[in-house]
Amino acid sequence: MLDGRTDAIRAFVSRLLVDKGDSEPFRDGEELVTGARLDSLDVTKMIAFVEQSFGVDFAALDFDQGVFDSVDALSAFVAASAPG
Amino acid sequence: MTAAAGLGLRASPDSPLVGFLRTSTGRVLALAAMAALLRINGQPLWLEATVAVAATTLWPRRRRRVTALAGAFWLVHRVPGGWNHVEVMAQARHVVLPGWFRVASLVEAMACIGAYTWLCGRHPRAPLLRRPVAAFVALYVGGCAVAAYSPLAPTLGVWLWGLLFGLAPFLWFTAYSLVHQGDAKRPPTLVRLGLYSPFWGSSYTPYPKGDTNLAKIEVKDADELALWQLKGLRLLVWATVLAALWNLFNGLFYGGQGSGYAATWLPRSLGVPTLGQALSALQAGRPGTLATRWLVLLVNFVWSLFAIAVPGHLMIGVCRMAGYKALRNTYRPLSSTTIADFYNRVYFYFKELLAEIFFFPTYLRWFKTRPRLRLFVATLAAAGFGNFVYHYLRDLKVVAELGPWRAAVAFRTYALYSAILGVAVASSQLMGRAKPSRALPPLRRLFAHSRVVVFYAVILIFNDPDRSLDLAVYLRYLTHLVVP
Repeated sequence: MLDGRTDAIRAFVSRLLVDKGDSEPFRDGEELVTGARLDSLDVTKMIAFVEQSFGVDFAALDFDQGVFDSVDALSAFVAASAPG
Repeated sequence: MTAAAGLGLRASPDSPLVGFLRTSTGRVLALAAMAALLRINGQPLWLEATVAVAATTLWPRRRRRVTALAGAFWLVHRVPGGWNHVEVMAQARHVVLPGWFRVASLVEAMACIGAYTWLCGRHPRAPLLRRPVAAFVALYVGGCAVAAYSPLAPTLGVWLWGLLFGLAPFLWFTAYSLVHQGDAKRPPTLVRLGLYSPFWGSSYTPYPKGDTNLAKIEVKDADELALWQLKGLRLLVWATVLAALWNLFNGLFYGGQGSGYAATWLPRSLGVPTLGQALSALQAGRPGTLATRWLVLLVNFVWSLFAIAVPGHLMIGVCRMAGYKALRNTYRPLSSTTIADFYNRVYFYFKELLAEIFFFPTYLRWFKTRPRLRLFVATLAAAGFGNFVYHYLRDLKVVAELGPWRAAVAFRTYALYSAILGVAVASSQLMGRAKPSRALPPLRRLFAHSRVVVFYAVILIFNDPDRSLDLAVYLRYLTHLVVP
């Protein structure tokens, strides 16, 4: 389950980067927002993806944009926040 | 080239210059170069900034603590402009202020911020603290209302305004702290307060993105430090070039009459009126020619770009020299092909502030089943409403003079500016991400760039810092752009 979730997040992030013309590889721990490879608009797409794919309700949580900084951080956040 | 590469984030660490900056001689020369560039650019605390960067270089493990300590020094030396207004207010009310009034107001402000952030951290679920930023801003506006409208004794009223003016420069630093209250990398409260006045400078907008972010963008070792010091120096050199161009531009178009730099050595100037002068002339029944009215706007637009880029580059250049991997505040704004892209490029840290404080809270709570409406409303909340709130609270002098309500009325022109900007940026976002300009055919590229420039040049009519002119004057200027 852990791998499936991380794989899905990694694949989504990869698509976001490719859509921006950034085809360079990235590590799961790489800080993509801090490193300017992703921006606020990409974060909104990641929010929608996580809501739809994992049923996370951000309105009920303390939101920190930092959880979208890397695949590892987002995967850990989803693991801790997703229902069930 | 990707955006990150363009921002200089992935420049090669193998450069010989980076190697040189790893040596003691290289470090000393880099510091000397930074000092010289700051001095050339007329930075009053250039020596102190150089000493602070030297200290962060010498004690890399204590970088943030050194930064905070230098910030505390800055705090005492930086005099927020508003305090002069409090002193004038005290004179008018026959209140005698002690010599230590400013320091006392600053200490009060810091104590209030420290107590509030501590309380929010301690009781995050308390009913009034569940939305800590909104509650903080509401408390602040409430304080302004009490100071303006309640029958306080004159001395108490002046001291309350002193506290409010003392808090004003740190409002949005505090907001960032509150947003990142749960972050493991947040600094201790005392260190945090020192970071509210970074020695590389800031406006009321935190450069770069508040205290917790500094921990995330700190260089990890000596190799990274050398690389980012090189990036910092490059940015300082670029700022110096831009400052010289700004100087020339000012002399050529304004004859040195505009604020900022002035090239007085130019034999002749084109004598273009500033936007403020053109608006006053229009009000006095001298609208000028159609061509002049457009020229005024375009020159004002370019002047505004210099005014954002030069100070931003100087601040971020020093920040990088201190060992923080900060992104540029302004990055090639004229290469933008959409309104949203320009907004992202021209004043990055203001846009980021609006995104964190206004965009995400709206986006996460409203219209979750309607993606396009959701994005539109959240963008409007940030670029429109948040933009207005920021400037209203920034111009506290107007609030103190007129009271919160009449000040809000005086801000109606800026409210219109914020609304137009918010709708335009939101609509532009909905149309999708900007294509790289080189991907467009030449004519379409030219049209896309021109559209962006004309839009921003025109809406800057409503971004006049003079809050005393009537909205009708600005609207008349707008209509006179198409009517000869």
